[in-house]
Amino acid sequence: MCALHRATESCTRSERCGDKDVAAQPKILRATLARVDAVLAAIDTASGIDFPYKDSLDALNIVAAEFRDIRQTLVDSTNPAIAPAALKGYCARALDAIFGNLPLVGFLARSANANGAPEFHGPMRRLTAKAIGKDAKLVISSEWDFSPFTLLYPHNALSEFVLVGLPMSESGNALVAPLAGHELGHNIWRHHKVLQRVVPLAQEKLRACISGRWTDFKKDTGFTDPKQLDDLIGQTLLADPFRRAVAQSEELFCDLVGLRVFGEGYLYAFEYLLAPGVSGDRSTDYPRLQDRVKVLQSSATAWEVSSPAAFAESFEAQDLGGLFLQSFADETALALVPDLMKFAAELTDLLALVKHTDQDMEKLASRFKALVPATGARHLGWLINAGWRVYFSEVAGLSTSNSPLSKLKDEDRPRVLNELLLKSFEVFEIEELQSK
Amino acid sequence: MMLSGANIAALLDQEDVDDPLVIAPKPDTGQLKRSGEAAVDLRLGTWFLTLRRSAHAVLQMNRSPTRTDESAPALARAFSDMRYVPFGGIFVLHPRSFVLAITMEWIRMTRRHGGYVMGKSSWGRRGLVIETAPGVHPGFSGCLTLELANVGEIPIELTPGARICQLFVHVLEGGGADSSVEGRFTGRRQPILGQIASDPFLEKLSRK
Repeated sequence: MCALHRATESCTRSERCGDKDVAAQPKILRATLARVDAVLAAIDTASGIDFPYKDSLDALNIVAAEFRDIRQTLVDSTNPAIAPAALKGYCARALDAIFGNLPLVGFLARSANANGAPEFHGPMRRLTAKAIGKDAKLVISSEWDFSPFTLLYPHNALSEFVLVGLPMSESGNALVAPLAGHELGHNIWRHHKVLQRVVPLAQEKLRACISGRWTDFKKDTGFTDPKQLDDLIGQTLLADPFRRAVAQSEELFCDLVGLRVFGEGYLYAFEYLLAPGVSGDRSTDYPRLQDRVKVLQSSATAWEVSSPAAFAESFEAQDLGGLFLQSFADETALALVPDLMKFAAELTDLLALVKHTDQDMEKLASRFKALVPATGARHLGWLINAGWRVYFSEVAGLSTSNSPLSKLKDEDRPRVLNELLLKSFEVFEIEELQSK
Repeated sequence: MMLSGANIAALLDQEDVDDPLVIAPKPDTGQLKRSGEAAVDLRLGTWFLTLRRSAHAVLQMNRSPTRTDESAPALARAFSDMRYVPFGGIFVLHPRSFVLAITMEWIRMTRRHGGYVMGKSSWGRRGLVIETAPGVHPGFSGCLTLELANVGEIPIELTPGARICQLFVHVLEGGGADSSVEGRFTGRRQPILGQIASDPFLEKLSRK
């Protein structure tokens, strides 16, 4: 007799005694078990995919193991001695796990998409291992959503996994690969506990911002004394702008990590994907687009990274959005930029994510122009930056050069440059493996 | 005239000339010089294209694909699957199966050199037939699509990075090719079916 059947029997007995909670038990349990089985079946189907890298399958196996545990708990809970409230708790936990993990299963399944750029995986995985540890695993996938993202610890047992998602339509575009640097930044933020360093500074800066505009603040909130910020009402009022300031700081930090790791390629990829910005309400957990651009440009100057021509002019300004207090969140995050720059520089140097060499970029670029993949590259970022140079000189505009690439048909040049870059990623990986 | 391994190596070492012969990643030219062979070994790449049953189309010799030229790539995708197998992975080619693969190396032929890709006898003797359209034209640049068929009785594990074929290089006589390298197969890292070019001669024969 199966466990569910026993539960049904116990419920039938309960129905006779009129206990409504217990009467509901078999229905909820049956549905929960069916849902968990359906998820396990979906994972099983996904496991049959030919994944380009084992990391995706490893992650799927971890998720499957959790659902098998959940299922076993449900089966064990069919004992009539289990309190109905406890049973409901188990079922709720199972439902939470489904809500939390099903998007992850889809994300992992899509990582097998051959339209992506699997050649990027090896070099990026090595950067990831430097960033968060040698056992780090990387899954690069895509989403039908035009925004790169990372799934941060969607599952307790996936703490060694970095899960980077790119927009489906751009997932095979080697030139936007630097945006993965931003997503890597989120993982560095957590793994290296940058949050703990930022929180006290954010508190201090938020206070300073309020002090600096105390008259406006007083008028809007009705507060009469700065000491009121310390009482419960003050703390409640500031909780949201503080949280948003920290969230914005994280986004700025990630931009700075992307800039450190990939240099000018990050700026070009950022501009390509986001300019001039979208209409509608801004996300208040992100700095305004023009502020992100300003921070990127000033940091690039400080770090001697060249910026795209008319970089800032490519973007439209976003409105403040949100409430009056939002302006304090925005201001606080911007006030933290020098600290965020310091943290990003310290960490990317410490983790050896930046290659401070004078690689001859023109030599790499000349290979692409000659329709040949680059060899001898010393950093992934240099390859992509050389690719961007060629994109602007031979592909995007009216080329005046006489290179073999420029002689291709207009519609073929972007494709061929992309092929050359992706092949160069693979050559870079081969050279790295052969050097050991 | 077929070039010796030493001659091929010498050409590969002249990277800074106007019209270089390039193989990337670059083979060990010292070893190529010493080998005494007249070809350079090429390795199996990471991309495989398999054909599958589809409701969309049939392969036709006459004006195939049958739709307009614009939809031809979509049609080709409809009856093919692209797979990526990383280094360290395998692709199993079962008996009587066919797959398009690609060389690991990106080849750039000069305007004065052409070549032929041939299978390696060690594989052929085990039932793996490699390449039935082996010509590499002067000025070509890209990875070489390989047609692989297992005509033996046992499945064969294909391992990306393994030596799979060899490239013989010949000097073009009667003038160099045009410097233009445009072509259906130029600049590709993945195998493609390609489009069967329309053939007015065949079309006229087919009209009744």
